[in-house]
This record gives sequence, structure tokens and C-alpha cells, in this order.
Amino acid sequence: MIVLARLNPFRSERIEALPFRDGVRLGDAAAEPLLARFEALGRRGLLVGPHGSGKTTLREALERLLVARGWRVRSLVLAADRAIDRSALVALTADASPRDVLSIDGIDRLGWWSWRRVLRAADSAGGVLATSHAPGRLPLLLEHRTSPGLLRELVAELVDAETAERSSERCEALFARHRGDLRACLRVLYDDHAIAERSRPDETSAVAD
Amino acid sequence: MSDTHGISTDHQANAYAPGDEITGTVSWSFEQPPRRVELRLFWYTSGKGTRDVGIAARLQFDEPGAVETRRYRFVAPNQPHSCSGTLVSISWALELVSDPAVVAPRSELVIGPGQREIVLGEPAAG
Repeated sequence: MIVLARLNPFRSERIEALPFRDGVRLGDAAAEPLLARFEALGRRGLLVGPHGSGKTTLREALERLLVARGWRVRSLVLAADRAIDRSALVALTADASPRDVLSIDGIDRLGWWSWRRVLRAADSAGGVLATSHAPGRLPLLLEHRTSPGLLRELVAELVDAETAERSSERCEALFARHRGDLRACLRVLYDDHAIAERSRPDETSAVAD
Repeated sequence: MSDTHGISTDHQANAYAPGDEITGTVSWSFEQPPRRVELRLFWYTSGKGTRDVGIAARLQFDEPGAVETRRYRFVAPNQPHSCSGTLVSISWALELVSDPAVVAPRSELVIGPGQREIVLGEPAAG
């Protein structure tokens, strides 16, 4: 028996739909109230948290809301494993107007000079939204915190009570191994579920869904 | 009265082979005539990785009234087939999209050879 991907309780669309809690959300619903806070901060806001805590997903959700409200969003993703694309940085900052919101994923990867360039552009832009692993550079919009308990809570929303109870120790171990990266932990649990169901003798792939 | 949508298909099993006709009715109920109502036939992925989606066909209903029921007809596309493995599934669905937007239930369907979903990693029948 195999577990069909569309029935795996840890499939990505279910993880993205998890509700907001303790500063962490991996999906969209937190974006609306955060947008009000972003406005209150003068449209300068930073989402802070460890890798895999949902910063990028939330930034993208905020971008969609901003576009729906008539803003022009200019995005730049600074991947940790790649050199900064200088031409992309120039494109982001060139001729920024009050209609533009600059949205940057990973501003902690920008050096001092590049950050100065963004700040100069921000003076004429309508707003700046960014993610970072550390606070600073922009007013704090939201700090994402993760914990083994939070991982257990999220798992409890995805599977039945018995399965959640069984995976409690596993959550602790995964949280430690992946240093608080909830998304990485949930991906491993996706595989765990597929393997566990595969080894079962019965013929159904019924899961808590 | 709240705004609502509904999709129904003539084929009860809602499973089709490529080239089959997909027919049925859609209904909507708004307080004011909507600006636009469109039915989309689309596929989407679900599973471990990033989600993907593709619209195969769309049918826009002309001059929609506030409360209406209309018929639709699509031809089931040749690809991609509905299929599932442990890492990813490809599924098909119909979705009614309107302006103003209303949260609408999807109508899930299967499109594949023999009107069946292909299950990857499963021994072939026979």
C-alpha cells in the first residue's frame, strides 16, 4: 500500500493553512492584521525569525494584499546560498516612486553599502517590507519564535490525537536536529507518515484529514 | 441573502477519459448582478513540495444575472492525467470564479485513461 501524496496529512497546502500562533504562521491568514501594523509603522516593517519559521510565506502574503490595494510591489529574494545579484538590486532601487513598496527577503545578507542604497531608494518609495534572521535595520513588524511545543501543536492539528501523541518524542528530536526549522521538521514528518503507512498490512491509505 | 455558488456535473462519478465531454450546470446567487462569472477547468499538484497549478480551459458566462443557473461543456484534455505517488499528486477540478469574489466549493474530478487516476508505484493490473 502506498500513501497518495494528496492524502498525506503533512502535504504542503495543509501546512500553509495552519493557523497563526506564537508569532509563527506558515500560511496566509496572519497577513491581514499585520498589514494594519505595517501601515502604523509608516510602511517600514521587518519580519524576524529563524529559517523555516514562515517569514517568506508571510512576506509573500503581505505582498499579495498590498498589490490588491493598489501598491506596486518590487521584490528581491537574497538567497543564502547565492551571491547577491547586483543588477537585481539596482532594478529594485532605481526610480522608486511613492506607489512602490520594496519587498526584500533576507536583508541581513546585504552589506552596509547595499543597505545604504536600499535606504536611499526607500526615501522615495511608499514602503519597505523585509525579512531577516536578526532584528534591526527596520522597525519590527513581527518576530517569529519556534519551539518543540509549537511543533507538537502544529502536528496535532494535522493528524489524529493518537498519531500526534506517538510523534511527540519525534517532534523533540526533529526540532533539535533542524535547529527550530519547522518547515524542515514537517517535511521529515511527511516522509515518516508515508513510510509508516507503507509498512502497514491493511489496504487502505486512510489518514486523518 | 448571502452570495453563493454551486457546481454540479452530469456524470455522477465525475471521472473522465481524455476527450470525454465534461458537462453540467453552475448556479450563482448574488444580491446584485455580478460583473463577471467564469468557470475554470484546471489541474493542481499537492504533496511534499511547492504547489503548482495550470488552467486548461475557461468559460465566461455572458451578461450574468443576479440569480442564474447555466449549463457548461468542456472536453477533457489529453494531459496531464490525474495521478498520484508518494511525493506528488496531480488532480483536476472545476472552479467558479466571480467578480465580486465568493468563496466557492471546487468540484473535484478525475481525468485519465479508463476514467481512472494513475497510481504511481502500484503494480499494473492484469
